[in-house]
Amino acid sequence: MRIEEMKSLWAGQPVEVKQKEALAGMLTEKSHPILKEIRKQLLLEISSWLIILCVYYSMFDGEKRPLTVNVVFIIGMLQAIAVNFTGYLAARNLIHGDNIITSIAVYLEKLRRFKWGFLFSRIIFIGAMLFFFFYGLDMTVFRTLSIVFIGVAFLGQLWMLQRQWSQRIKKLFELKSELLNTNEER
Amino acid sequence: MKFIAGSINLTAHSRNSINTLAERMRNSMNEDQFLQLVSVHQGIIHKVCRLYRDTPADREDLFQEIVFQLWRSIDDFRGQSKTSTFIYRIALNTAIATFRNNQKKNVINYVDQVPEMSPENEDGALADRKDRLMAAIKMLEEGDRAIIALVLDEYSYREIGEIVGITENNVGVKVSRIKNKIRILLTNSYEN
Repeated sequence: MRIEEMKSLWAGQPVEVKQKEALAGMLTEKSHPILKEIRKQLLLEISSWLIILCVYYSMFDGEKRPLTVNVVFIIGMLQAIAVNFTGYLAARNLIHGDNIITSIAVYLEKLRRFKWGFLFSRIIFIGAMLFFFFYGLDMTVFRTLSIVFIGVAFLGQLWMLQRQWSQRIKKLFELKSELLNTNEER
Repeated sequence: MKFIAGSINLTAHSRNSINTLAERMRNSMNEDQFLQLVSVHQGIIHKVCRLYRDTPADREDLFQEIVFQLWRSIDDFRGQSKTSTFIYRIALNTAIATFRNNQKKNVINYVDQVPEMSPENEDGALADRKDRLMAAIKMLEEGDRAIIALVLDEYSYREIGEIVGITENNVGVKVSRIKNKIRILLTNSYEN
C-alpha cells in the first residue's frame, strides 16, 4: 500500500461527532472519569482518617499518653492526608512543556518524586500508628508477634505499591527512550 | 530615512499590537469559544482515541481526559503553531501519559446493522482496508503510532519534530522505518 493510499484511508476514518453540550460536560473535574475514581478513594481515606483523628483521644486513650506521642500520631495522619492530596493534584496535570518528550520527562520526574514521597509517607504513617498504640505497653510475646505481623503485612503492601509505581515509571521511561532513539531495530 | 524608520516603527508597533491582540484573545478565550474549537477539531481526538484504546468505553474515557487536559492547557497556547497542531500535541501526550489496564478485555460490540459481507461491495472493501490500516498502526510501538498519525494527517517533518521534541532528521529516519513496518504488517494481514 502506498503512502498516498494510506493517507486517504486515514482521512476517511469514522468519527462520532459530539455535540457542544456533551463537550461542555467534559470540562469539569466532577465528570472526569479517572479523577472521579481517585477522588472517591481519596475522600474515603481522608474522611476515615479524620474521623479517627476526632475520636482517637477519648477512644484510644490519647489522654493517657504523653503529648509527644499524641503529636507523632497527629503528624503521621496529617502528612499522609497531605501526600494523598498532592497525588491527586499531580494526576490532574499531565501536560508540561512545549513538546511530548519534554512533557513526558517532566511528568516522569514528578512520578519518581511522588513514588518515593508516597512510600516514605506510608512508612511514617504506619510507624506513627505503631508508636501510638504500643507506647507504654508491656511487650509480651503476643504483642511482639503482633507488631512483627503488622510490620510484615505492611511491608508486603508497600512492596506491591512500589512495584506498581515502578512499572508505570518504567513504561513511561521506555516510551521516552523510544521517541528519542532512531537506531533501534525491533 | 525618516519614512523608513517610521515604517520600521510601524511594523514593530503592528507586530506588538497583533501579539497583544492574540494574547488578549488567548486570555479571554471563554468556554464557548473553546468548545467551538474542540468541536471543529474533534476528528483529531477521535483518531487518537482509536489509536491508543481498544474498547469504546476506554476511548470515551480518553476522549474526556483529552478535552479536560486541553481546557487546562489552553492558556499555554501562544498561537505560534496551528490550532490543530496544538490539539494533536495535547491529545497524543495525554493518550501516552495516562495509565490504563493493559489487560485485553473480551469485548463484544453490538451494532445496529448487519455488516456487508460481500467482497464486491465497494464500501465493505473500503471499510476493510481502513480497518486493516488501523489494525496495522495499532500494532506499532506507542511512539511510532504518534509519528505515523501525524504523517498521515499531512504534517511536515519540521512540525512533527516540534510536536514530539526531536530533530527533523530524526523524524525522517523514524518515518521511513515506520512505513516499512506498516507495509510488512499489511502484507502479513492480507496473506493470513
